[in-house]
Order: sequence, then structure tokens, then C-alpha cells
Amino acid sequence: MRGSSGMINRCSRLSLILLGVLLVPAVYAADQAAQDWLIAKLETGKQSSFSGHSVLLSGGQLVSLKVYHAPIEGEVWERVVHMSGEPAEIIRKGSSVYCLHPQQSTGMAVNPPIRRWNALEKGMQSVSRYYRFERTGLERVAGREAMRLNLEPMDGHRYGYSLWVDAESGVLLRTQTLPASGDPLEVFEFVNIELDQALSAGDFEPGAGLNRNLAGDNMPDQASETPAQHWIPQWLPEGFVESQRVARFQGQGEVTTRAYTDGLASFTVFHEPRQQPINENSSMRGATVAVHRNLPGAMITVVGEIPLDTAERIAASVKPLADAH
Amino acid sequence: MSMGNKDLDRNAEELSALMDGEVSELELRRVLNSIEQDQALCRKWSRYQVASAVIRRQTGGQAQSWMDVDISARVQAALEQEPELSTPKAGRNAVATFISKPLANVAVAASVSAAVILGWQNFAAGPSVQQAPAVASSSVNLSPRALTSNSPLMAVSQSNAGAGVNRVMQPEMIRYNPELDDRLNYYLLSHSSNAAVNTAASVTPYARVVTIKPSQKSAPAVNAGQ
Repeated sequence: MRGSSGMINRCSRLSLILLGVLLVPAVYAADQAAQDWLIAKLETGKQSSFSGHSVLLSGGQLVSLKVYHAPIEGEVWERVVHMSGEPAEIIRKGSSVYCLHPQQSTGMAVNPPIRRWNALEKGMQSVSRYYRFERTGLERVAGREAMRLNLEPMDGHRYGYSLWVDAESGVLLRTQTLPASGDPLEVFEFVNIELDQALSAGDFEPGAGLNRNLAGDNMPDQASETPAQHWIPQWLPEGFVESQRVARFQGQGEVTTRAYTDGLASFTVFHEPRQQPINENSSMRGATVAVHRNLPGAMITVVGEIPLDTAERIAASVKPLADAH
Repeated sequence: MSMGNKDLDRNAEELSALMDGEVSELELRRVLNSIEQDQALCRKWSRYQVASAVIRRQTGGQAQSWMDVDISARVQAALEQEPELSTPKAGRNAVATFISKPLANVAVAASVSAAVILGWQNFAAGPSVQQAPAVASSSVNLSPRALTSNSPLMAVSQSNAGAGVNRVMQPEMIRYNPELDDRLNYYLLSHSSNAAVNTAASVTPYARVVTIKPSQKSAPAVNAGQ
């Protein structure tokens, strides 16, 4: 009997999901409330000043991190310190991002001005059309009360998420990236966190033993800031919009990028001129996929936290813009 | 209720849980053992898979032909013709191998998942590629067709290779290419910056980046391959 009841449970769950699809308009109002709550909370959270220890479980690997976050000089500053394995730090000061290692460090600039949740807010207009919001109640994370939100995707082109938002501060204490079925692809969680800390610029200085000299501190020129004009993906999953903030990286050269987001998931398409075709391949780790595809005279790479099938379809749809018309 | 019935119920429940990717490692072994020993359970498993594929519309228009396939008969025939398991690339043989040796396949799935991780580590970890698994040396172009053709049977890999992967990651997909993967480091950092700025993900994208390490002292030239 246990077996059959288990089966019935699974069957009823499936039918519930099907029913849910039919009832989308009815629950839209409830979604809207949860969504507004999330936006308001995250907006508060980004202004918080905090530091804490967290873990990231991804691709079967556990990474432990020390995280600093504060609004400093009118910008969001973040410092993520690798606490296990090779020393490494990521430091973000507004629009500049640095990845520091003992031997070599790299820099990157994201197009200013940074208004952190801008695209999210815009994207949020559509988020409830592509995810089902559900507030399930308070749970305890990092010794604090956190409101759990489940976001279930309405199609197969994005993953689901569970977000634990600190009830008081709005800081994201825990996130899970969920595939259509099975275990989470990625879990990020604060183990402890100290809120309302008075952090200063000194807290965002890299630790000892890291190379502070950026290899050839040459950011790409202005020309590469504009999104690519000579190629375009002809297919995009519904709800993804091009985000104007494109990161530029050292040695970018002729590489052009287009970045897309639906407010929760994101992917970036890279186009690099190249005479010799590469071996087309796909790889994945945790929630992140990387797909290489050939175009005549160029290599297309799609990197993002989206299902592999979707990334491959996007990569395959990229065409030179002259041919697109 | 007799023991036999209880076992049957438990098997069915575990099979159902396996479909949903909700079994533990131990349960996985047990249920695969049961499948191996129980023809009825084995048939049930393949029915579930076909049903699941149909529901998720992953049949690639082949639903009809799958419904009609008597897999066990084909397995028998294939086994008689193919005593050796040395040609894993032939799709049908791979399927036959999978059905007839579920436990072996779990091992394969597990090693594939390890390879996926190593494959990623390869381009993430730079200099340590010399110790890359043998997988990295095979460089077969990826054919999407070949990948999808056996997807309904491969969902079992979900408990090992990442549940969201509706098809198994094939070793051919994982190649190490120093030049490309160096490039990919920059791509990943760039993408993570976009993700951090444009989504609700907070510092998580940077947490991902931290695992990436440049593989060379000097920044790679953009057009190194030309």
C-alpha cells in the first residue's frame, strides 16, 4: 500500500502542476504580491552593509567563502574571498571587477552606471509571466529568520529557484538553482552573517599573497562597449531581454558580447573572429553551461545558467547580421 | 500482506522515486539491482521513461516508435550478436548495454559525471590538465542528433550527473583545449559580472568565478589561434 500511495502522490503532484498551468491567470494576483515583496526586500538588502561566511555547492564541489558587501562611495562594493583551496579573491567596486590570484590577476569593467537591480526591476515586469511565485513561510538560515520563496519556471528554458530572503534586512541568505526534477544544481548559503557592520574601504583590500598587479591593465576602448552590431542570435527563449550592462574584459580584442537576462536567469553570448573552426562542444558544471559553436570565420560561445538544450539552441541560432535580414 | 507484495510495492515506489530523481545512492543501487533481476520491473522502468519523455515532449517525434519497441527482446538479440562491449559509440549497442547492465551503467554514469566535473575543472584549473582523464584525449565532434537519440533511457543518470540534465553528458562532449579554455575563463568572468549586475543572484556569480584560475602567466592573446 505504501508503494501505491507513493505513486498516487507522484501522480497527483504531476496533475497539480498541470492544473497550475491552467490556473496561471487566477494565481497571477498572488504572484504579483510575492513579486512586489521580493523587489522591495532586495532593494533594501542591496543597501545593507554586511560580512559573513558562505558556502557554494556546485558541480559536486563545495567552496567556502568569506563575503563582504557594503555601499561605499555611492557604489556597491563586494569582496568574495576563497577560504579553501588556492587563494583567490573577487573584488567588485561599482563597475570594476577584479579577479585576484597569487600568480596572475585579471580585471574587468561592467558598463557604468551600475544600478544594481535595474535590469531586475525591468525584468521583473515579466518575471511573473515566466515563473510561478510562492511564499512558503519563514525558515531559519545562518541563525536568522528568512522568508522562503519558490520560483517555478513555466517553461523548460530556465531553471527554478528557491530564495531565502532575510526577513529583516532583505539580504539573500540562501539560493538554490533547481532543475526540472532532482537535486539542486547549485546551492549558495550563508553559514553566518553580521549585518549592519560598519565596513570601510580597507575591508575591500585584497589579502596577502595575491597579485595586485593587473596583467596589462588595458581595458577595451569605448568602441567595444556598444553591443555587437554584426551578429545576433535569431532565437531567444521567451522573456529574456538584452541587458545593456555588458562586461568588458582585458584582452577582449575583437570579441563582442551580448548579455541577456529574464531577471533571474542570465546568459552571455560571445562572438570571436577566428579563421580555424573549433571542435564544437558543450560542457557544464553545476548550473553553468558553456557551449562552443562555429560560424564561418568566427567562434560563438554561450555561457549561462540555463539548461544545456536551451544554450545549444541559442548558440546554433547565431547568424551574421547581414544574413539575418 | 506477504513479503513478496511488500517488496513489489517498495520496488514500484523506488522506481517512481528514481524517475523523479529522489533516491539516495543506496536506494539507487537497490532499485537497479531489482531491475536487473525482475523483468516486469525492467519493463515498467522503460514504460515510465517513455511516458516521461512523452510528457516532457522530448521524444523528437519518435514517441510512436518507442511505444512499439520491445526493448527486452532487442536486448536479448543484441546481446547474442554482441558479446563484446567494446563499441560503446554505436547507439544501439549502448542502449543494449545500458538495459542489460544497469549497475555497470550507473558506474558509467558516475564516471561520466566525474568526467564532466573534471572536464570543467580542466578548463578551470589550468596547469593541472596534464593529469586530465583519458576522456580529454578523445575529440569527437558533437552531434546533437546522436545525443538526443537515447535520451529517454539515459534519464537514470540524473541522480549522478546532475538532475537537470535530461540526457547524459557524453564523454565526447568533454574536451580539453587549452587555448579555448583559457578564453573561456575570461568569458566566465565576463558572464558572471553580467549575472551579478543584472539578476537577483547577489554574490553567487562571483562565488562561481572564484574557482577559475588563469592557466598562464601572461594574458592570452585574443587571436592566438590564427
